[in-house]
Amino acid sequence: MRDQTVFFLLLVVVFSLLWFVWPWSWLVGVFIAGLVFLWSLFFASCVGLGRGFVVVFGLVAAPLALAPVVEPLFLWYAVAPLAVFVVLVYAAYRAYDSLLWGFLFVVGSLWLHVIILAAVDLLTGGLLLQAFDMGFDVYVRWNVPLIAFMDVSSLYISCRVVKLIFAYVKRRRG
Amino acid sequence: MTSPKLRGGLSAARWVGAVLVVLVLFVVLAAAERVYVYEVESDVEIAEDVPHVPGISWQFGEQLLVVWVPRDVAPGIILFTNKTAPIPLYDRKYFLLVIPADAQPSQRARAEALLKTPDGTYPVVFRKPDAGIIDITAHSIEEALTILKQIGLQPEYQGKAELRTDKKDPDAGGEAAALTLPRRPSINSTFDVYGGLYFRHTPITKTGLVIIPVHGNEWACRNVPHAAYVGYDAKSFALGTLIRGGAVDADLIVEVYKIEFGGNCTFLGSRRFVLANRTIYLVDLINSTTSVDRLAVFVMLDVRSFSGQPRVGVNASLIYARTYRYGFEVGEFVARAAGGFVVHREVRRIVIGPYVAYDGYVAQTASSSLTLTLATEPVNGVCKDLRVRFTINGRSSSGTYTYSGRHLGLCIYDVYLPYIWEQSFQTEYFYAKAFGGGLSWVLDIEYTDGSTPYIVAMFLKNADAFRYWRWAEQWKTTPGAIDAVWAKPFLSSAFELYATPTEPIPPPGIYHGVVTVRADSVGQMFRARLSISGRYTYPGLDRVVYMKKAEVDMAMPLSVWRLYAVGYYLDDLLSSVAPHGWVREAFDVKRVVDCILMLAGVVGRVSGLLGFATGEGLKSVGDSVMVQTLDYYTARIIYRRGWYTNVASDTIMVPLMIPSLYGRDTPTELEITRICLDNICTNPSLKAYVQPDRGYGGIIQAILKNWMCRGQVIDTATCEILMR
Repeated sequence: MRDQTVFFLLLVVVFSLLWFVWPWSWLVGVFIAGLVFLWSLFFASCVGLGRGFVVVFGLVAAPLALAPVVEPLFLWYAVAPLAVFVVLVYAAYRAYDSLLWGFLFVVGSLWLHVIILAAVDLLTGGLLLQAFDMGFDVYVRWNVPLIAFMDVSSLYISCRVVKLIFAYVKRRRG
Repeated sequence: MTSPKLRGGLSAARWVGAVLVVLVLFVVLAAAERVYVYEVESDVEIAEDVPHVPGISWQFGEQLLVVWVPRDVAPGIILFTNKTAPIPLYDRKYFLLVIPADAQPSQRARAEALLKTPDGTYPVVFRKPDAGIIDITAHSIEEALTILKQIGLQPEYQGKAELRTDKKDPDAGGEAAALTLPRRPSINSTFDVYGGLYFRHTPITKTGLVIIPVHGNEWACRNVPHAAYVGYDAKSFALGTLIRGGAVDADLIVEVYKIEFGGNCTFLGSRRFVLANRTIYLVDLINSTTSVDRLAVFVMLDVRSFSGQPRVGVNASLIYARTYRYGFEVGEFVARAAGGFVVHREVRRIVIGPYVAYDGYVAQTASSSLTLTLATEPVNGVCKDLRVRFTINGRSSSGTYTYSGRHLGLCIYDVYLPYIWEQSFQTEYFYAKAFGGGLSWVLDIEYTDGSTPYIVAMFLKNADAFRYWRWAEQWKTTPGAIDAVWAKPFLSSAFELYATPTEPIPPPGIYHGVVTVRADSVGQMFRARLSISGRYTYPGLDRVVYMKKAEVDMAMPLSVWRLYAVGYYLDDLLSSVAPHGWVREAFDVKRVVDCILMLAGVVGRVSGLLGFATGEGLKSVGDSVMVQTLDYYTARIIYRRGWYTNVASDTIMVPLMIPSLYGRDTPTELEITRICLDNICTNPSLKAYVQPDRGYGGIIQAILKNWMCRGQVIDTATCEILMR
């Protein structure tokens, strides 16, 4: 499981490096879809990733790439994070057999990783905030791989920590 | 021997006709005046004051005709097409001089110079042209002779001649005499302002009178259609002609009118010139004395015959007297060049330009800090000294300097221009306006032994190629049209850039960018308006890539708090730069969804990759214009082209609402401290001025240009009557 997570972590980072050469055209939609897809697989692999989830996350990400062709799909850019969140909660629910635990696992992991990112930003003198504020820029490309790397690595830690906490709580409860 | 067919085919009437044609030709040839043409080396530069020989009398009075021909043509690189081509170099001390064959100069005349020819010596004085023609430009001596024949002369090339004065030659060591340090205009000073008038290129399809209409739809006179507005205080007026696509035998007629109260015009006088190609004519009817009234000009041709499908282009160059009264009537123009070029060939000329010659150049304010590094192949292992002659538009010199090379495998020469020769700049600007042209540097490069260097590469430092103050109540409103002469005045400053792109690297291309800052009149919601243009062009590939990103930093001595910007494309409809269609809907949906996701830690400023990728991805779908506050006094205006944008426009207009500008009693200086067009950044320190809301007659200024009432806008009653 951990190997799978590390594999997807590396995949997200390597894929994000493609941003340095990615053309500024409708293909950016494909890049975003790829990033969302791989990130979702990475996070889901923390709690166990079945083949079905690969298909579901593929279906969630695909409209992002297709939006330039079918313009109403641009709406999906607003909804996709919610959809990914719901599927992740469902994956965690499957792992912990409890909707509440699944929800707490996903939210806990996300918030802990946000705290880690904030701490890194503080330690680096606002570098991360600068990277986030820059957004997708046609010429300044370093920020996306940096965000991808920091995000997945902090999420990996937070995911592990939350899992340990959950295991500890479960043990205490007997 | 005449063929039977021809003999049989010619009736008596045809014989009479043929005889008449021969007779007419004979009369024309007999009427054509024999003139001698000399190839002259002069020790003084010729500009608007042209040579005259006292005592002679021919169709041009005492005037000698000056015809410019290139001193030489050599291979050169035009940086902004990135191509090599033969580049002619003219010289204001080298020209053809046309003198009547039977010239009998006055023996008692006081001469300023002597013209020494194989046929004798003539006394010469310099003054404004008697007959209107200031000079003619030709590509070669042969073409010059053809042009002279077209204007009814019978030229005979007589060889070389010398024009000698006792004036000091500034190009041969007297550089200090030519140096005038550029100065910033000071309040209450009166100065010369150079500008242009533009007429429509007119196809010649008939003989007789042909009107050359003024560009645009605004006529200066109610009763004289197509007349152009000249206005008050014009000191000098010259017309330049360009004929393309055929030949025209015609007279150029210029009528000058006084604009009366109410808009009707009364005729003041006219001038008739022989039309010649690439010729500049001085219209002496427009001068300081006549332009105490508002003037207008009407231009037409009297066409005798034409061949081919000729189109006649006419433009005018004017010099006005203007008084700087309020501290906001001027702006700046900055032209820059930057980037590296791979050359790898023997090159004798480098052309940097052309830049737009923006109207309103204030005399004595031009400057340049042109700097470039040249890398050449060593010659026999050594770096020979390099001599560079800087000329403006390949005509007027701005000095010749020698540079030593550093041997670093290649020979590296740091070439810089110490200062611009103001008089040369004025002359070339005046000519540029007359021919609707621009401003370029043409560098003539050779080793001091006269050989041509093999240039490997060159790098242009990001510095001013040209900079000058300009009378900012400008003539042009939009690029494609001429300002309605009295409607909606505004002030503007302009920045123009040529650079080599660093991305994408291949194939070789050139980047061209323009930024203007326009201060609008009192009462407008948006008192400052930016226009930002940029495009990569790849000349060899016939391909254009529009600007993808721009950043303009604007500083002012006031708070930039709540500075607000909107964006418009400069296309046919001036459409808004804003999310549209499904993208706009997506933003609305996102606002709702984000409320939920914020609690989950998915969206937020540092929330993670998922929120970033989808949120920023959506934000960058379409174009956007936004404002970023850098500090209390500085704001950054950012334009970004979206990744799913298909708008074919290289220009956006960005009106700025600046709350701190309201209610001001004094002019406000806006300074553009930094401009990034795509990934090319420069710090131009471009100044522009916004009028105060009070204290100078702003209500009148909102509908009239300041200078149209000679700056006396406080006298509102008079001005209102005049402009009604």
